[in-house]
Amino acid sequence: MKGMVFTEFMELVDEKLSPETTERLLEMSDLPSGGIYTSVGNYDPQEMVTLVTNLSGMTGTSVPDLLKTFGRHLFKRFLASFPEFFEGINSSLEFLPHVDGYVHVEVRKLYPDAELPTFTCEVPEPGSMTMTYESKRHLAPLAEGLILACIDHYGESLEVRSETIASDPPTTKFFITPKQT
Amino acid sequence: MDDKVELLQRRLERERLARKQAEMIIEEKSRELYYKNQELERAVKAEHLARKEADLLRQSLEAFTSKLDIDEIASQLKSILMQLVPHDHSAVYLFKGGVLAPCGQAQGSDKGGDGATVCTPSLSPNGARPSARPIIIPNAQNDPQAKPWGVHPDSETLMVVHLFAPGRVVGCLILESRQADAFTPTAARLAQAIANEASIAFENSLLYREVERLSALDALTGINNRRQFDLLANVEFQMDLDHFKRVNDTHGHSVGDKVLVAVADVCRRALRTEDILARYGGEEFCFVLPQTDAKGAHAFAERIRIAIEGLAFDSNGRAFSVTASFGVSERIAEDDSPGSILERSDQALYEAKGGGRNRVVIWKPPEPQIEALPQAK
Repeated sequence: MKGMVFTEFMELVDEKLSPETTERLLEMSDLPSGGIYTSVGNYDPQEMVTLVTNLSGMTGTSVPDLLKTFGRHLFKRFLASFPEFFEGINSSLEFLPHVDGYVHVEVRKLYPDAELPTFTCEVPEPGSMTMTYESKRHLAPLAEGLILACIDHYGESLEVRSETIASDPPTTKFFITPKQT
Repeated sequence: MDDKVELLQRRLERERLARKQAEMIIEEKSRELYYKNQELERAVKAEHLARKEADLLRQSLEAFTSKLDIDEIASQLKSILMQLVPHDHSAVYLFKGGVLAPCGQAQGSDKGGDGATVCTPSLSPNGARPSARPIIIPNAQNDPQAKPWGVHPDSETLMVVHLFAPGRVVGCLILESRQADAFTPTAARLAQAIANEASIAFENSLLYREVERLSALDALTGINNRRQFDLLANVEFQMDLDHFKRVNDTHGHSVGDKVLVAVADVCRRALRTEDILARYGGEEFCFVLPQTDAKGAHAFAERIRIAIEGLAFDSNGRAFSVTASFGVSERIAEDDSPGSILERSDQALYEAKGGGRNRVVIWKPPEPQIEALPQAK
């Protein structure tokens, strides 16, 4: 897993909780890498699982909720780092189909060995979308956090419901629909 | 408070290590990129070289097809090889009468040579199928295979490239190098490709020469025809068979033709290499004898006259012989045209016929002009 994911995660804990929490988390996790991450490195994804699980234990927040928060954080970082991906796009339903066809293509140019999830978008009716997420990493809540942050970014009134539709490979379907009032 | 300090120290230490790790990763990545870049540069260079080679090959092909002179083709071949296959000496050999003879102008540090012919057991025009790939002889100074090519004393390696025409070998190309590993498989392949183009040009040149030779030859007797004679003329004497019409009338034209062939054969055998013989028409033959005066030509004609007289023919059991008359004339002025020399020898021939045939007559100027004429050489 890309080092940037780890450094962003630790930044998030610093920000939302405290640097002390981050240090305690690293200490109790006793990671093979010693918690020494650099954005240009590559690390065992199992370390992320350990970190999130331990943080959940420390804070009492569920792992999916932590991942969702992390997803929202990553979206902001992504928006700040790569504004060109959002040029000329005016809604989340317009942006989300770009993730697989454009964003991931660009990512693969930089990191040919990256293990990327796949997103398949469908439009069942105007104003709604389903996104099928398939990844070995079990990070569907993180994807959900990203989607939610995207909706917030465009200030839309949409809600997201998820449903696990297969376990091998782990597949989750997100239903993005107008908020019921 | 101490806890907080310790915590921050731990963080600082971790960040220091992370930076170090990042530096190492970046260094490794740049090294990777450097090598990849070098690899790409090599590929680009190889591509450039290949393109240059292809260009030169195409140019050489064009240059070869525009040439019909064997020495010019050989020179062209050497100059192309000079650019594409690094070497120190080169030579082109072509088969002439079953032996390999060097050809082509000296090119750079050419093998030059004394024009001596060589023939090696490994290469013969009709012998065992030679290798389609060049033969590389690494230890040229001591390898007996290299010896017949007269290896230069400073050469380490020798490469023999065969020149093929359809179904046979027309010659070979010899490259020598002072470097031990000069001839790589790529160089050998390239040399063969260029040699193949040259071979086609050599073959075309030989065919062209043959066509030229045939168009210059009389179809019946195989000696030069009138057209060729006019081109070369520096006429010395004419020969006409006596009463040849009678031979044809009595024995038939096929016998007459046999007589002509036999007479031409006698004449041809009497020629020196620089002499020219042509059938000028019917039973008339002309000779050009360079560096010979009228006296020498007379003696030469006399020998032929006696030889013809001695020929024995047979026609349906009837033996017969023929005689010939000769008129000799030499060039009397620098601007003497072939036509006027011929005209004078024709006059002398007429005189020989009138004087009783089977004789040689040297042209003499008419009496009143005698003082105006130069002395015979």
